[in-house]
Amino acid sequence: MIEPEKLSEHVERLNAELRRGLIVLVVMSQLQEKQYGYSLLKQLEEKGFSITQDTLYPLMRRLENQGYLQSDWQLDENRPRRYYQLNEFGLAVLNALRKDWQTQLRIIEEIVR
Amino acid sequence: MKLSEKSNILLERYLLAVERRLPLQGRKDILAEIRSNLMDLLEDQYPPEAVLDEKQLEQELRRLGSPHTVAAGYLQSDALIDPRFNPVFRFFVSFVAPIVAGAMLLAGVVSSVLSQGESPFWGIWEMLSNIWGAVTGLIGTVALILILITRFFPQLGKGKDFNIIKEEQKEWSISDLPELVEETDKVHPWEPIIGIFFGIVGVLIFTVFFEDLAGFWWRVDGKWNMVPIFTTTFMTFLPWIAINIGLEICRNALILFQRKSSIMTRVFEIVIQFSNLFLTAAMLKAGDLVSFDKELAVQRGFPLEGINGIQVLLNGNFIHWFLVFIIVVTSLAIVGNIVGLVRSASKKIS
Repeated sequence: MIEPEKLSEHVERLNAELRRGLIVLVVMSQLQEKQYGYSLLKQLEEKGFSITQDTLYPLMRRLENQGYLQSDWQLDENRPRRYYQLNEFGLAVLNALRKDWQTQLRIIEEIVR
Repeated sequence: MKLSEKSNILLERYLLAVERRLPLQGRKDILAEIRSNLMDLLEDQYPPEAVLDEKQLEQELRRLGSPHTVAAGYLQSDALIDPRFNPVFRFFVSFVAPIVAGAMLLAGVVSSVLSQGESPFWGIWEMLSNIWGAVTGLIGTVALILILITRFFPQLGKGKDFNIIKEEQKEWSISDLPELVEETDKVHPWEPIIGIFFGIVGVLIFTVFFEDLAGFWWRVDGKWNMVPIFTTTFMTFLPWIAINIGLEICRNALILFQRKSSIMTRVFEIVIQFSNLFLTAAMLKAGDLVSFDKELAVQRGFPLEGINGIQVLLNGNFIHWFLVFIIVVTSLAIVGNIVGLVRSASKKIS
């Protein structure tokens, strides 16, 4: 008899692993428009893809360092916020990733069915 | 939403703790962003008229994670040395350190020869400890520099190609792959390395330090004294002994290069064993190889019972029977090796 607690613990861990591989694609897909860290966090949460702050914020900087995003500081309601958006190269990478993702999804659906 | 005075202090202390763990490069910018995101979170969680007290803020900060966790996300990785520096570190460990060790060994031997082998035992010991100190110092210093760069300047040299050892990136072909090694031919790398190390020590002893080292040693009044026991007849064999050890070093180097025993190394071993056999036979025929100067021993403070013991040992034809024993053992080893060689060769032919 499998203990339900043990089962859910394992499923949770493996799910987290699955999601980890998709975070970059998800985040890049949401940065076609300008976003600051917290707004993106809330947007993803609303869409059902929760992600922790300590994962998202450093990831946005990393994507910028890798040359996919551009960023600038803006004053909103007297408070500075850093806004991120995909640049031309980032957009091209996202489109290629998206295409690959669709193909992979079809293949995986076929295999996992 | 506003912060109370105490919660404001708490926030600044938290951010300071985060700041101290961030990379030096871009630290201020990252911290400003963390602050901005945190304020967004608090404004979203509390109404505009709320004044956040210390307890509430602490609760929010705990949810955010420890300063270490928050800062860790902005570090390149958890590794002490960024993996992109691995080729640099490997280059120093695999190439620079052995070259430094080799150069120091050569310099040590040359300086020992030039100084006529003064205090030979301590000379060898000092040379080996100097080499160890230099090699570990070099590797440790490089590691420390790379750790500091990883921790404080993660963007340094970003995008640069650190693959110094281009050989590792070259296209490979089937002929580059190693041949499969038969179980009987397998050799652990440490075996020839130990052989080479002791070979070098042996050559040094039999060439540079022999006259100062070879003899009976005795500690008198806290000072080591030595009485030489090898005769000039024995000394004439020293070059032959050194050549045999030199050949053994070459054989070990060949094994290390090939990473296995081969027909060539087996033939080489038999040649060396024959040379050792003839050397031992020549020594057996040569006459007195050792002699003990009793007067010199007394003069140097050797105790009488010790002197008598040494004389009994030397008068008992001990050297003669020892050489006979060596001849028997070497002959048996040669026979065993020839049988092994023939078997190995016939297996390869078939």
